[in-house]
Amino acid sequence: MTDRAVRNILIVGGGTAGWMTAAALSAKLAGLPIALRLVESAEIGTVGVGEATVPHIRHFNAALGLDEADFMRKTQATYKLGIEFRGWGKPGDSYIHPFGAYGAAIGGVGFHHHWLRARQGGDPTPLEAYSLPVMAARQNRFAPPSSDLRSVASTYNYAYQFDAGLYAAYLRAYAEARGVVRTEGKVADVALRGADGFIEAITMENGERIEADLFIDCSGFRGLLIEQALKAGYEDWTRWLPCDRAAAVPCETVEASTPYTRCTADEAGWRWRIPLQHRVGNGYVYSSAHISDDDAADALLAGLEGKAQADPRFLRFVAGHRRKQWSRNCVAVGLASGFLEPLESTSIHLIQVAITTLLELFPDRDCAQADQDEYNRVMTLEFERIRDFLVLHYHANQRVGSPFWDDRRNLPIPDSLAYKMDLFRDRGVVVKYKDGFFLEPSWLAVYLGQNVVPRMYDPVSDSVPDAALAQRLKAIRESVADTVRAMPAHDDWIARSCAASGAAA
Amino acid sequence: MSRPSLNSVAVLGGGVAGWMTACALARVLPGDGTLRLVETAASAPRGALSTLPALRTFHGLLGLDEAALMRSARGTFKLGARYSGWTDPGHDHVEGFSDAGAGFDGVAFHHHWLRARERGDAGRYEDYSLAAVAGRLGRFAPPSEDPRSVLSTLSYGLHLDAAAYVAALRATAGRVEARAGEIADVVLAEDGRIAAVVLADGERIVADLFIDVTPDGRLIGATQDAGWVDEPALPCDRLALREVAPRAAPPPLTEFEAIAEGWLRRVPLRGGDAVTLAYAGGLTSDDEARDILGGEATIVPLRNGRRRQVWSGNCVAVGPAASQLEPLNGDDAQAIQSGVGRLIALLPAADGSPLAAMEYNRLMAEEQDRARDLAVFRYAAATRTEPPWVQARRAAPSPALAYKQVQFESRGRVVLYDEETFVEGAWVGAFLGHGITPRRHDRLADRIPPAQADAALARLRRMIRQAAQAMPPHADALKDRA
Repeated sequence: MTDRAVRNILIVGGGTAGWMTAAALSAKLAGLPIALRLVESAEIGTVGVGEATVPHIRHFNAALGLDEADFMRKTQATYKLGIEFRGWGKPGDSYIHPFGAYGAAIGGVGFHHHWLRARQGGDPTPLEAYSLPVMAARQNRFAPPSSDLRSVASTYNYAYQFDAGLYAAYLRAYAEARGVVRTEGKVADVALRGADGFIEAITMENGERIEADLFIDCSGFRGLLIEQALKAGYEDWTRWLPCDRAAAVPCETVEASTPYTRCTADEAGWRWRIPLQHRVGNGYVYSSAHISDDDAADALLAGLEGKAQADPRFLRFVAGHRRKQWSRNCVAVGLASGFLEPLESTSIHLIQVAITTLLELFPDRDCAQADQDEYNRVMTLEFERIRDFLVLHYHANQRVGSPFWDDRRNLPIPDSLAYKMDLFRDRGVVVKYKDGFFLEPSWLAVYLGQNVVPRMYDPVSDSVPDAALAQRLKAIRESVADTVRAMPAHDDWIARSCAASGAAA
Repeated sequence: MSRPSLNSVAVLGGGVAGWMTACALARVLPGDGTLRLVETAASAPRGALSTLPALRTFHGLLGLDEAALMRSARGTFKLGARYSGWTDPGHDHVEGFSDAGAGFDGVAFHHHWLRARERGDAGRYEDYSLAAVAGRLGRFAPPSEDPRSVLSTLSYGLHLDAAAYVAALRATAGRVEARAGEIADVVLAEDGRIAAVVLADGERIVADLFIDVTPDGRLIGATQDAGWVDEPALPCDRLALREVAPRAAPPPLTEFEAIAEGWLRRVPLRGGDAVTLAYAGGLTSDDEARDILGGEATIVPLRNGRRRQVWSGNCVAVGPAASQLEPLNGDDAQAIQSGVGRLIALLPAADGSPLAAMEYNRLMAEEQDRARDLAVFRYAAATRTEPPWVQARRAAPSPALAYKQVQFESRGRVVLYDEETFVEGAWVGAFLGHGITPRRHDRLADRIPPAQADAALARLRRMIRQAAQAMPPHADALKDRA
């Protein structure tokens, strides 16, 4: 190892971002002479309320060698097959964005084209009848996917709904066991080096000075290092994503826990519902220009299914991202790097991508400009592609007469999204790029779920004769229905596999 | 929702582009529609094709039997390409169709190789690619389907005689109505779409969709297609083609040799080697080109670049009408395969689909530009000082290529953009082969103790060498297929 190698890394801030980073670095840098340290203050609350994730979290956990059942027990986790969106197209509509594809290509043509063709021919079957995870979610059932690729039971993936505070604590134990040194306290000062403006050290309120070669800013929205010290700048996306506040409150569980998260469109934003083993996490993401905090809290509390377990907590944010998520010798991870509302459960995913990309581009002490440039290119793309997908949800609404929603439908959207929507409306084409988290099935779920219907289907679909198509559709439908019927109830599977002690599972 | 599907498609030009397009469309167009192909004399196929493994997928879709195709089209196997004369005299490298090494410990293999090389001798990067090693040894075996076998890392392309390949495609084309003819006139409608193509004998071809597979874009050039973008960083604007006597032991490789005037390509076919000289007409005359090739040669003009819009109105250009590139990457027919594949994925309605055209143009432009970047890189990395080489290096690389090269030079990172034909392993092989060495390796490679890493690399090299030596000579492998 050369003498330019990084020897000390300091993570500023705990929470989900800080401890995910600490845990991953302690695992992936094992074997290298690098000291890892994390400072956090118990006085500064973390945002973590109840988090819904996407299936990539399973890779993250697997890379750390976590035992799934143990992790789920300790974080009060439930399984997640997708997200239900209520009222996003027309009031009263419901669709589920599943972790899995609809049907299967027939004759080399994407399934949705055949479905559109059948629909045009008078077949009223909804698209979701061809999705195993949606049908399982609708019936509150869960089983892990089959590894037999010929089986319809292999056509989906799953994620978790867990208590983010408990997840951070779980990873803290993991990281500390692997040598990460935790220091309690608040940061009082950040010192920059004169020569190149790199961060030299931070000083704690008790006077301790901590130096490091590389700093990871997990301090949350304020960006203690990346913004306050290094002035990375912020790309503000409020014009497309105007929600700037959230109220969050947990409530008691009163019904069977669903293997999906729910996002319900409301007057000035949307409400989330995330069932955990021991409680249900709820929140209202809203635009402060359209509703007051008090009215938002009232709407949130009025929508609870069980007794509230606390007073609503309020959060403020601005949609967008730091212009430089890596600046000099500081990499921002989590809310310090930017914010996209958790409509598609991407918060933890963005933390994970940041960690993976940092490891791919792990620098020397001089943090080559090439490393910074590439990191910022990759992360900006990741944010932009998710942004477009979120804006689609807002834009493709038919909630006529509501000021907030009328604006979302009528105000301009990013050109990149307008292009994608034009292609889909024209002929059912989902524009694909190499980078970007959400793939074709996700775009299909939202387009069709929110009544964005193509003008025509792929004409190559017609090379499959009508009778053969009808037979194939029926076979897929029945195979999905039969498989779902044989799956256990979600709560039964939790009880069998990962119930936390004392949980009402 | 409407469904005015295409009733008639006319393919004008012929050659490899024409027949690949017609054969693929024949499989997907509605049964009651017409599919016509007019073959012009200038579109006649010439020379040889050196293809990527992906073309075999296309053959699979067409139901083309590979063994039969290789017999009829003088086919040989291709495990990769050898480049010589690019930098120091006597230096050469092979870019094989199997990724080098194995990404052990979660870090791409080339970082382990770079690290070992900093300490001492780690051999050549290509020594860890089974396809490259077997290619150099003149040996061939088909890939294994057993993932535990080192033979599973192999893939292969084909060397084919272009005219015989077209004959084989024609034999499977089924419903295609083909005729010979010359284009006399392209008649535009008031909206700028092609109303008809009039042939020299007076026949008037009318269709919902016209596909331009002429060498010079006779149809698309008549529409408002926004013109051609020339590529200044590629200097050769002429190709001279000649066939020479076969070698006793032809390697399963396409060979590219840089020379003062440009470069020579040698493609082994059964019964002869197809040799191509690429040169700059302003610097080297056709007669000089013939002298270099040692006799009579067919001269083909080349215009590096691409059309701004390869789909304009009801006309789609595929093949040389859409884009041209010095055939320096060994990816012949790739742009055609992709052009027709994407056309089928975006097949328009009879009344046209301007949005599909826009997306098609975006995708094809991206793909062409990324493949061009690799060809431009080969010039940029050359150290030759003769006029065409110096001229090529004077042109600025695309921002995409410049960034890609900066990232690789800095830390061995391979940046991949949308629609890349060549993925990470191919770029690493080209960068390292042409002498670009990163300043740093990935620090995460240091997790493995040096002695352990060295031992693993030595073991891997030995295993690959033994596996290659156990393969039959390429010539014998061809006999088995006969």
